[in-house]
Amino acid sequence: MGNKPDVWQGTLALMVLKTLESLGPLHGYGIARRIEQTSGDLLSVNYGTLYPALLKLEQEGYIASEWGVSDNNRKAKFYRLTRAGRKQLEREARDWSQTTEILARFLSTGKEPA
Amino acid sequence: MRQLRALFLRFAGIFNRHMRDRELSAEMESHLQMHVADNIRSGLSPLDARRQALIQLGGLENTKESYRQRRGLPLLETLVQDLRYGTRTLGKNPGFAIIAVATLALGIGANTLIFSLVDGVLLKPLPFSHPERLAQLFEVSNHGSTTGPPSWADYQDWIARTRTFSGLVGYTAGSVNVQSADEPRRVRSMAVTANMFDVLGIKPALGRGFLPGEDSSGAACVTVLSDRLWRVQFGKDPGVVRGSIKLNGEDCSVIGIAPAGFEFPTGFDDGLWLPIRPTHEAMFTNRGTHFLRTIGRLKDGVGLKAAENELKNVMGQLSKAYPREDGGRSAQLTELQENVSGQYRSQLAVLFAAVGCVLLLACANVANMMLARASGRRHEIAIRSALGATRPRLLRQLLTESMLLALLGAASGVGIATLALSALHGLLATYLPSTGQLTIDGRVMAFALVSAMLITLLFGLAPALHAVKDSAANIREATLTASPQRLTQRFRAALIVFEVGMSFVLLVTAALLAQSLLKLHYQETGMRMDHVVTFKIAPSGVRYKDRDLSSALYSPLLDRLRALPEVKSAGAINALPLQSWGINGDFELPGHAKPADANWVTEYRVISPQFFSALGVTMLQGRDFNENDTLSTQRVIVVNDAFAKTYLGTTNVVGQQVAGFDEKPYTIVGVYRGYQQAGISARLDPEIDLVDSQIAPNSVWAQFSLQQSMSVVVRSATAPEGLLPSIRSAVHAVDPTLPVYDIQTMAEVRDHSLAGETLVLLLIGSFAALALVLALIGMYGVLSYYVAQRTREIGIRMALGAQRFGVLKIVLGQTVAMALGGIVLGLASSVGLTRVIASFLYGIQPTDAATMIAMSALLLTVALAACYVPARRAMNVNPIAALRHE
Repeated sequence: MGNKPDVWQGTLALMVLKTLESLGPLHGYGIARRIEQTSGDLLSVNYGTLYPALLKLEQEGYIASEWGVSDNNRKAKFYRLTRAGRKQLEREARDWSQTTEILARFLSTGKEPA
Repeated sequence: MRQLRALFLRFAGIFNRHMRDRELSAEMESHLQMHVADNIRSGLSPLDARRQALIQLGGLENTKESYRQRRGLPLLETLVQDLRYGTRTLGKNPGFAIIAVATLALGIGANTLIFSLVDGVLLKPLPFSHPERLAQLFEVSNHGSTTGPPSWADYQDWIARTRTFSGLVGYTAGSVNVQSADEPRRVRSMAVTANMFDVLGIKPALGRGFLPGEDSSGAACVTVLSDRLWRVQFGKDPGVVRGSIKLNGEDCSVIGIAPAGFEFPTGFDDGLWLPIRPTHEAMFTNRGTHFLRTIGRLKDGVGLKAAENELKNVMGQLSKAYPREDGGRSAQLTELQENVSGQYRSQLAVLFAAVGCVLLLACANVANMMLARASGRRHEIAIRSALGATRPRLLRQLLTESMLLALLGAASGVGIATLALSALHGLLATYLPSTGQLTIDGRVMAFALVSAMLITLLFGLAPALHAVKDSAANIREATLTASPQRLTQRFRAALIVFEVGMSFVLLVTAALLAQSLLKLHYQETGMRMDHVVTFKIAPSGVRYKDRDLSSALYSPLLDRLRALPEVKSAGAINALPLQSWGINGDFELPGHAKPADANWVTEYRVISPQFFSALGVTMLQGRDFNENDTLSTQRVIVVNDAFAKTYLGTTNVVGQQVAGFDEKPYTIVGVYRGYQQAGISARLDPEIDLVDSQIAPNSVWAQFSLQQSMSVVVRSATAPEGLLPSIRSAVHAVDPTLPVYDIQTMAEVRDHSLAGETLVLLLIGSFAALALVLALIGMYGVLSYYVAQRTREIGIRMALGAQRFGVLKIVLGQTVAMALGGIVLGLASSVGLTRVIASFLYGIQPTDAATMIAMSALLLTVALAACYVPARRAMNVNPIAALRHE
């Protein structure tokens, strides 16, 4: 994980934002499970890396946190998307789809007959 | 923007760490509990469930650590941590901390002091608008050997014929009598052309500057006061502006007050400025009277060289047009800053080098102490590295400690420099061109800070590298008593050799300077300066207009003085010996053809009869002036032996004629043994003396002597200080409006003329003393450590039958080896520096053997003193105790 922190941190942040957008306020553990489930086996999350990423997003003002009570009555810190976070998510999502689209087109060109 | 917000929050994250840590633990715990619960639900045993949860989290402490790193600013936090730890460590060992900080404070303080001088004199630009475009304009005569100001007529032609200057300011110093309620006062004045403020780009703080035309002949008298004069004489009264004061008996409007700190020319900050109002007097009509100092502002885009070439061209035209006055004259341009401060460069450079040596010594000493301390800390370092501290991390921590020492040293050093600067202010003021720019300001503090940072590396790096060299591997060995480390010991000994060498150079320099100063002090000056008091009077103004001042003022005054019972003799001169040059000019010898390449110039002074006997100058041939030499008798002069020897030979000088400086030829009636004219170490020039009673009123000679100002010299039978009341009343009896100023004994004049030498000696001497003490402490430290390290070895030797004397020999051998090494190094450096030092010496060779031997002996003695305690300790080693020590 330590070898590719930049890409990882970037995608992880996007995934966190997306998760919070679709599921509403959620605690760290919930976010981790959700990301694991959605990404399937492709990403085996080291849950620990999630927390510095959450902290960074909070410092940047994209998410906010407060203590609350979970479904099964446990005290947990809940994260929610802020307005800036929503905008950031839109922007990032747009960038990503653009990037992947370009890359996909680029990679498929090799198959065309010369 | 987001990054900035994050950075700010991270900075905030450094604080109230404990609360945030608790919160993080709570969050981790809640995460784990949820995960464990899920795992149990999926069928794991509680123990496995927790284990799996921890594994998937990637380790609890790891997570917390990476979280913390994101939370705060790790680099800053470690720095704070290290500083806190460093403070604690130093606090635990206050003796070490105090000595180290004091050593560094002295080193940095001395450097800061000298830097403040260098900065104030050499580095800071002159406080004018675009000072780099200002230049001093000189005429060059005598085949390029002397430079001087132009005459009024030359100045006018320069303005008319040059195109490269946007303005030329002519100025000449003088002094005026200011009439005030209680007593007339003498105030320094500067007569300037009206464009001065405009060319310098300075506006008066109050009122206005001079207007064009206020410097024309017949204009009304206006003046701008300096801020200091305004404060001291007029109590900062704003009503003075637009009011009127009496200058030399003439009403003069005060039109403005210069800004505080304004000096023009540099050093002139306590008088007043007057526009030059040319008259029909000879100094304005005679092209040969070169008195008007001139600066110019170069037009944009004009280089110094181009302007100088143009000025040389103009001078070439003038010397052809006026061969009598300007023949053979050329021109020279010097940047104003260079002209003001250039002469101090070499002295300041030497001071800076000396003080740099002191700082290096201080660093070597602290490095030595830290090396000794590092050996004691091996245990601590080993444990820290075993616990996972990396080498860079350890280095950083040790260097932070060093930096702490250096910063404390810098702070105290700035304090020391401030104190020293105010203590030296009087001496500095007589020596340097201007003390207005000498302050411990932000620039100087920045210098202290930067030097602290640099020397941190200088004294901290080697000990730190040494300390972390063999960290983790040697935890066992480090726990045992450190065995003597030969390499370190050798390095420390090398430091001492270096220290002794530097001290030697400084000591020798100081000793040579001291001997020069002594020689200068007791130098034969051609005068007897004991029991002599001098003062000045300046009879300018309407009262003496067109009068023969010799009979109207000087003769009656001198007669009154001579009538005082304590007074043995009294006389007057226009330029006081040791203080300033008189008038430089050429002459002719009727009957002698001047060889084409000869350069017949001489110093001229105007004296009264009995001046020589008052100052104790010896007549060699002929006679002194007397009351019978008047305007109606034969014109006579006396000359000094240098004049006789240079131009006339030694015999039959009396009776010869000299001409070319006045309408008629003059006859030499006496030859005297020359006195030091402009300073003790200055050259002794040929001199012609005229007598005041033969000076025609309103002639050029009168303007530069009797009408301007004269120094009166009184030889007393008693202590000269007691004479002052009678002197004042004598002057008052002759003219109650005449101020008496510049009252000094001749001994004070002599000391004043040696102020520069005294200052340099005082500073270098202090630095040398400091260096000696540092070397002493350094040697003591190294030898003590050496003995402590070898206690066991000495114990074994003693157990095996070594005598106490043999032990002494070991310590002594080490001492003498270090001292001799240092002395040899110092000797070599001193010889290498011969040329630099020679230019500051007077009457002594830079390689003076006696000085070298004496300083070597001094250093050896100091070395032996340093080894006294360690040697005793070594000789008293108890073999049993030493062996049990292991």
